[in-house]
Amino acid sequence: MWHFFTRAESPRSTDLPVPPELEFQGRNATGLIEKRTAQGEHFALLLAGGIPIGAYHLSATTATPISPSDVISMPAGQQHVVELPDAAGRLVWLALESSPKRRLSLSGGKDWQEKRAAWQASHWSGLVEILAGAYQAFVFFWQGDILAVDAALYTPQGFVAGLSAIEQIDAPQWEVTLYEWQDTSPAYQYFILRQATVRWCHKILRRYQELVGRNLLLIMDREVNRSLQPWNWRLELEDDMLHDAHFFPRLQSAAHAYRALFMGIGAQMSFMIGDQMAQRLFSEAFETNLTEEIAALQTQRLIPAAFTD
Amino acid sequence: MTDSHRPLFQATPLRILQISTAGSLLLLMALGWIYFAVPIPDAYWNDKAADILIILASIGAALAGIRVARLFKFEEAPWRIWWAFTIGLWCWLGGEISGLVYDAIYWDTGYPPLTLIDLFWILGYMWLGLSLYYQYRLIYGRQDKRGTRYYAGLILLALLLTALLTNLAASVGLAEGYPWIILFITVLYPVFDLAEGVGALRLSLLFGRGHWSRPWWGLILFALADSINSFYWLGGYAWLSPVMQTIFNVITNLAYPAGYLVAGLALLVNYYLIRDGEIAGLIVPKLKDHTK
Repeated sequence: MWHFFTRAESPRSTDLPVPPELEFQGRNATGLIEKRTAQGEHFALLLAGGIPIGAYHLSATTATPISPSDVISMPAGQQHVVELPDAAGRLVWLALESSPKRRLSLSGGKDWQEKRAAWQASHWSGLVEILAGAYQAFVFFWQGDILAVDAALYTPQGFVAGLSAIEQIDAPQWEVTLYEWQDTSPAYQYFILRQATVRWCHKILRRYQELVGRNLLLIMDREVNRSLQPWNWRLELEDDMLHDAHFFPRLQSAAHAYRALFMGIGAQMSFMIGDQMAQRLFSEAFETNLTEEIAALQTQRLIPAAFTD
Repeated sequence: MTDSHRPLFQATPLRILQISTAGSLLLLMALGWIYFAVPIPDAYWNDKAADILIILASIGAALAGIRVARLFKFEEAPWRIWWAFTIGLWCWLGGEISGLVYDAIYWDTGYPPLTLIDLFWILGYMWLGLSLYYQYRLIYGRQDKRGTRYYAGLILLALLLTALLTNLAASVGLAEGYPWIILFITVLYPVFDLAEGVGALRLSLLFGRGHWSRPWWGLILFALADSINSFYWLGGYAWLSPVMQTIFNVITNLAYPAGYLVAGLALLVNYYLIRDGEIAGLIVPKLKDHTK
């Protein structure tokens, strides 16, 4: 029995011309490789954009980090290979870096709706895994909010992103696991940095739109998106939202991308409303971030003064 | 399209702005020539030639204002800012045209105490002040639920201050022989000028080199021109040396039409930026090298 996406079709090792990790690397793809040794030991290797970012020795309830090279060099007895959308990959990483805290049994979507409403009302933060028949889903809650991109569902037809997809699971019995993360885990730090970036960006863009109207906001979106294009990051500004569907293999890579994004926003905003006002918008929005978010941004030097003159 | 069929003039935003800027400079030069060289011997027609050029400048600004204001939807905050600004410019255009008409009627006799010109000017000040108010509220007072009534309060305050200053001016014998209301209106202009000039200056400093600041530069120029006029009215002209008198005359005569031209050109640039975005060919942001 595999841990993740059991029903996903995995190519047989004999069908692969090269080991799966090389296959992922060659295509800069995100994926998960689970291996089971003849002694029954269970391992997982996660790759982000073709780069191994974590390897784990799995037991029923824990995932102990080990060196990726140990898993790569391990002879494949049985293996389960799944290519993942970046959003799902990020959630799997967080699950692997967290420990299960609580398990719940829900009777379908109505129970889920109630739970979700309660978590939202209590501004709960955590990772939720849902196993329901052939479905497996991960949803990341941050202060009760869920970004659409932080909900990934595996269905027999493949992966579907977005919260609405989860609400369409038609299985009667849902096994739900709530994960608790370590603040020091790189997966958690990446999630916080990303959440902070998305929320900060949203506040800046919303305020900019208030000042100059939607037309100029859309023009800025287009210009910034164009400036980011050469990097092939799956980052996109749309209206007053940042859609971040990229799985950065390292925190520094994510910070680099976010820095480029904010630089672009700062330059465009300065052109229209001047440096001082742009700085003001950045700062006002920054100050309304949560303490953890501010700390995550500051650690990576993503601060208002860095993006305006 | 072959070269032989290519139009000689392509009305790109950049080209239109270049032509508008050149036209504005020519207009200012022509005004300078009319004011200082007095090329038309008949003083009335010399004055009217200048008035017509100023009306052209104010029409340009008012039309550019309409173009910008129409780009916003009613529910967007800038909608009210730019409509108020535009209505203010149209009121002042009304004032300019009224001035032309009143001159035609009263050139030899002097204006009646209260004129349509004053009405248009004062309404213009109020609408332009309202646009400043809306802009400040958008920057500083998002959470502030005080609506336009608060602005009415500010206007009332300005009127009270003007009344006080009027009484003070009357007590020292300024504008002796004129009715109180005339003195009041005369004092009202510099009060509005000062308030709106300072407001616009602060806004332009806030927006710095950004394009959003530039229409406000027009108000600063109006305030500058009118301040010199007020200074003259208070008797300041006599205190100046002939050289300074000439410098001040040049500033006041040219800063005033330049106010319309600057506001109009800035509005036109913003119109193309908002309408066409990057394809207008006007966006040249400082791109920073974020790869290092």
